[in-house]
Amino acid sequence: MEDQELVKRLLNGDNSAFTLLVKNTEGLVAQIVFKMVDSLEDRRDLVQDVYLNAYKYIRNFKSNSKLSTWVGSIAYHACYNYLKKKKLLLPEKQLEDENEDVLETMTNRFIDHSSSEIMEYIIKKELRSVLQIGIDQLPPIYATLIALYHFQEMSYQEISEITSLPEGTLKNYLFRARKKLKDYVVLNYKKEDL
Amino acid sequence: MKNSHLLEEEIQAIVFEQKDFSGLNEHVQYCNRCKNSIEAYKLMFKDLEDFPQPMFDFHVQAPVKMYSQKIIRNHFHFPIFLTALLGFLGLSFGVISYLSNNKSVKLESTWLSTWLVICTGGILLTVLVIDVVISYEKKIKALNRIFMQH
Ligand SMILES: [Zn+2]
Repeated sequence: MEDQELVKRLLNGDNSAFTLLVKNTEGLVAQIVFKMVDSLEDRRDLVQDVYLNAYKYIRNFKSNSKLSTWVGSIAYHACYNYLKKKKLLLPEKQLEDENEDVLETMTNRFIDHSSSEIMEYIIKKELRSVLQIGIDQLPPIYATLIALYHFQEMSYQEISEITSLPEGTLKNYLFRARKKLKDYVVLNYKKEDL
Repeated sequence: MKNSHLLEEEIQAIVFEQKDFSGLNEHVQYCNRCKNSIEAYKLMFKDLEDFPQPMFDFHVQAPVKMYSQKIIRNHFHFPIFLTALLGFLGLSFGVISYLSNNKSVKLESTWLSTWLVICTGGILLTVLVIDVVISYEKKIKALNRIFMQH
């Protein structure tokens, strides 16, 4: 069903339309909330708040964006404010890791010496679980961006609408997030191997 | 051909932006480090969309359902309240005037009853029409605000 039709039904008080909205956006909201909030209890409160706010303020939805992006944006900002309140949000400067150059040198050294071994390892040693741990160790905003771009396959514009980050900042954060992830996978391979 | 190693930005651009850098590609063919870096990214992010999707193990809509039920319960609709009040008053006057007519109290009750019925009916109809028009306009306004923005 088209967004416009769904909103029309919601404004007419059709509760089955709201169930459909939840069904259409639950995956996206879960990606955001799981990446940004660790506590199971806080996740539940946050998600229920997100949908309550979507229900209350559906009149504020503007048709120049997608309904899923609008709900995603409510979810992202709820989590962002939660992290800020809990003082779990890294200041922007800290997101730009000071040890990045050292890490890059180490990673490159390993890559130089391991040649095709590392590729075999990546395939053999359950890449998925290594990656999952790697993503969980990223700063929450980086993990969210990876999830939105690579898991949900959203465009830069859509992610920018959800996070209110300018496209330039968004691309820069994504670049750093991928690099951190690659460093994690490569360095963990070597640690295990030694 | 580029002699120094590719920058991390260049490697990611080749993998994720599908950009073609002819000069860089030539270097990649002969350089193990850059080739492996590109392969590592490709392998890591390949099939990432097939990762298990996180799911909520609780009812996300519970507060919404409670909220919507509360709205229905607390919904005080003034025109309908007014209609009911006027209807009640009209009916009471009608009954009183009928009874007083029966008891031969000297009150022009037949005349009073007729006018009470006409006035009450007229007022009720007006109130209902106003209510329908107001709620229709509200709905149209809300829909216009949402769909006519470009
Ligand atoms: Zn190179």
